[in-house]
Amino acid sequence: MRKIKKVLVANRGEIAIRIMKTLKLLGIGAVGVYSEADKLSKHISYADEAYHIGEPEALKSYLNMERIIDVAKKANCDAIHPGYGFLAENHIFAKMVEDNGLIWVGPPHDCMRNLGDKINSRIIAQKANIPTTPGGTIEDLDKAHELADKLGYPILIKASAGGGGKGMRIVHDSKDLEESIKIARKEAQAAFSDPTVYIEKYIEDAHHIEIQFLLDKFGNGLYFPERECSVQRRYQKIIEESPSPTIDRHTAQEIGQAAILIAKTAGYYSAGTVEFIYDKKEKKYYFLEVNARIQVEHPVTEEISGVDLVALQIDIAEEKPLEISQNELNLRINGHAIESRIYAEDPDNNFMPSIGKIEHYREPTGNGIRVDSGFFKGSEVLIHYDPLIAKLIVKAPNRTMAIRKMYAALSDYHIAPVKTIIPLLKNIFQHEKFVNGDYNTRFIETYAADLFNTKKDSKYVSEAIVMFNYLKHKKHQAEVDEYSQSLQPYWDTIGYWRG
Amino acid sequence: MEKLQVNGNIVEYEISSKENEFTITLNAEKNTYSVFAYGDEYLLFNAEENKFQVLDVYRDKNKVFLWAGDEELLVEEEQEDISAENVELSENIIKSPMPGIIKEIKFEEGDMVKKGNTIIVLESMKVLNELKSSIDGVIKKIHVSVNAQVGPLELLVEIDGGE
Repeated sequence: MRKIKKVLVANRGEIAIRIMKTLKLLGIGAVGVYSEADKLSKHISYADEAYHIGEPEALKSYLNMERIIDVAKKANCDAIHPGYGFLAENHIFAKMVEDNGLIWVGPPHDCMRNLGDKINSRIIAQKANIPTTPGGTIEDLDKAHELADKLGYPILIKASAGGGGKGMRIVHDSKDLEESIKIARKEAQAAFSDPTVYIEKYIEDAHHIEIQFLLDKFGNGLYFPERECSVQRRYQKIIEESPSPTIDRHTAQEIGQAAILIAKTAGYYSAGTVEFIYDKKEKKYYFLEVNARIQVEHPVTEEISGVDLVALQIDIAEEKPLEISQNELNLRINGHAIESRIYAEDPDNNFMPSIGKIEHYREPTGNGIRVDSGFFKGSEVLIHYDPLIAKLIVKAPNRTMAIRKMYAALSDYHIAPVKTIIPLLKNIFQHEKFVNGDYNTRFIETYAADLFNTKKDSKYVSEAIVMFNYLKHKKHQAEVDEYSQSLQPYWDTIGYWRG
Repeated sequence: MEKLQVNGNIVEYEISSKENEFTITLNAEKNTYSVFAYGDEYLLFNAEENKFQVLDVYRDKNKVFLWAGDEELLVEEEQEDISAENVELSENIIKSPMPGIIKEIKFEEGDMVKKGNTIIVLESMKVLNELKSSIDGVIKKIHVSVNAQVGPLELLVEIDGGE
């Protein structure tokens, strides 16, 4: 066992804050880092101390490995927590951290290298006898055509080092294959510094099901109930829920055990997630990839299990054994949790990022409502980074109540003038198919007509017009008041002299 | 009759006020509200109907964003439609569809391009977007350079259709 006293959080936004909050609960010091563009960002205020690490461009700040390690040493940290994105799944960085005598709060670097490469991780899953989706590597263009033809279009091109849909392209026709491979390679290079891409069969009635797991250094493992993350736009999740309305408890257990088996085969420890594609029609699951990090949607699992996953990551990094058994964990699981990602994007304009200052900001509150946010009033949504403003998580006794709670909480989440996907999310939580749990990864495109550009008749037109006129009147009044107040000091002065 | 745009629809109404009391006639229906301010939030009290409504409000120049019940509303003065001119132009220019950074410019001024050719690669939030020509023609002017940061709807490239 070893004791961690001070952790550098090599990230920004909501995840940096979320990690720092747990560090405080554990009595561990939190060191923040920030780029030039982030010097007024919210995450710094949660750190005990914060260091400037470079220019706005991520490559020169949040991806600047040497600089971050220098800061960690200078600030006397004994560990680095990477959050998600940026350097979280960079095995070279993980190794550098350890070579510099610091503790990496994450899985072992050689295991990260093996799993980070998606082609390699498929081989690991196959070794554990877990089915993988049909597909393969791209040796040259002819072979790629041959493989794609064999699988049948549409096919997916994915970045081997990828995640979050970056470097991923769906191809419907062989004439687009060459160009799509080219773009995917470029995106992969830009996002992960590795241009390798591969081909996978595209499953039509696909569900994205994933298993959160924990493994300590002594081979003790825990798997949590599955999260369903099938509501996606541009291959990026926007809604996650647990448990899934798609699979039964028996399948959930089977997939959970498969996840632990894969992670153990890979020599993993720390928190992680195994992603699966579930083919509802065939009732079959396929291994997709391992996310060797804390994930964006981890709060969903925390809410239904009552555990603090970041605290357990720290425990495992301190070489403590997991204290509860799978049976004990199973008894703790209760209720239903859902997460909505609040992106600063205009859903009615092809998800165009909406950058700029958040002038008006009000978060929902209440029992079973959690907001993990990286912003407050006056914060700026910056062009340099992911436009995730916050994650809204609700927990309720059952799925129906959770959906209604989410709808109410989204209605109470007020952000302006930056545009967000809140209107889209509200439409989803009112959509019959979603409410019935009848949705797959193509939900948004299938029901686009119900979800986008929906202008409903308002119940509050009179009230809105009254408010508009009231504010106009008040502004005029304020100007009059300001003028009369500007005369005030003279009277005060004269009064003083008279006294 | 006065006019305002509510959620993009033009609404005609009549209004009169006395101190914090507003009487509005909309669709031949008359209602009186008393307005009380609490910070950014307001309480509208409709005495005849025994109804209270809390509104959260943000005012941005001539626009007002309001949140009432489960709705978000946008009220603004009537806008003139200036989009017609832009539609005509969109054939032979390329504008940035979103803010981003120019990663690649595939042609130079004077180059011949075909409809569907990718002219510019724009990176926004780590995703590469290909901006394509919608006509056959010759690149007349390129207004940006590689690594330039552009805002939304900024003019990037002009293409001469050569009619």
